[in-house]
Amino acid sequence: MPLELAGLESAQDEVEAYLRARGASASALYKVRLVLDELVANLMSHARFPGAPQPLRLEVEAGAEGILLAVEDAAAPFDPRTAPAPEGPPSLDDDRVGGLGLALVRRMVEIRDYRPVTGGWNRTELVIPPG
Amino acid sequence: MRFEVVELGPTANKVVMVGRLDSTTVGMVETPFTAAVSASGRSAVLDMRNLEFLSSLGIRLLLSAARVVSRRGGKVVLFGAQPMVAEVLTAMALDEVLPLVATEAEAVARLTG
Repeated sequence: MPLELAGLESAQDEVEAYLRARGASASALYKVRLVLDELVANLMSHARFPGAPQPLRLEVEAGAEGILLAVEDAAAPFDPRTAPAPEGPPSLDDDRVGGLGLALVRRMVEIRDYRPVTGGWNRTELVIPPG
Repeated sequence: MRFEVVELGPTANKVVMVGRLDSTTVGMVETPFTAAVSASGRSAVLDMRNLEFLSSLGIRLLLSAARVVSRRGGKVVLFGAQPMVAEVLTAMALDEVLPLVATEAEAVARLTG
C-alpha cells in the first residue's frame, strides 16, 4: 500500500471490495477505510524513516470475531497505544488539532498490538468487531 | 468531496457536501470550502446527508472553518449526517463546537437560538 496520497484511495477501495465480498457491514467497512486513512496521514506527516520511506504492508483478514488489520511500516517506532493524543473535546478557541486522527482511531477500533518485526519494521494490529 | 453553496437568506448559507472528505480530498477543497462556509458575516448550515465519509483531516477542516465563522460572529450547525459520520463526530465529542441535528429546519433554528 503506497505511503502517498496518489494510490491511497484505490488501496482503500480494493480492501473495501475484498471485505464487502465477505459480508462486512457498512460500519466495519467505514472503520477499515478510516483506519487506513488515519494511519497513512499520520505516517506521511509525522513519521521519521531511518532509510527511504517504504510502502506499507497490509494484511486483511475477515473472520468470525471481526476484521483483523495488520499494518507494517518501516518508520521509526511510534506506539499508537501510548502516544499522547488530545483527551478532551476540541474547542474553537485553540488550534490544538494535532493528534485528532490517533484519538479517533483509538475510539473507533481496538488497537490490539504494536510490536517490532524483522528488518526494523513495526507491526500494528487492529481489530474491527463485526456488526 | 464536492460542495455547493445555497443562499438561505440575508444571514445564512447552506453548504451541501457530497462524497468523501478524507486525506485524499481535503487538500483539494480546503481553501474554497473554508471560503464558502465563512462567507462574510454569515452563518452556515452544512448539509451532510450525502457526505459518505469523514476522517480526522475532514474534522480539522470543519473546525477551522467554524473557527473563522465564529470569529466573524456567526455559527456553524451540521445536519443530516449518515450514521457512521455521526458516530465519528460523536466519538470526537464535537457537539459543543459543531452541533449536529437531524434536519435543515432544526439547523436553521439553531443558528438563531
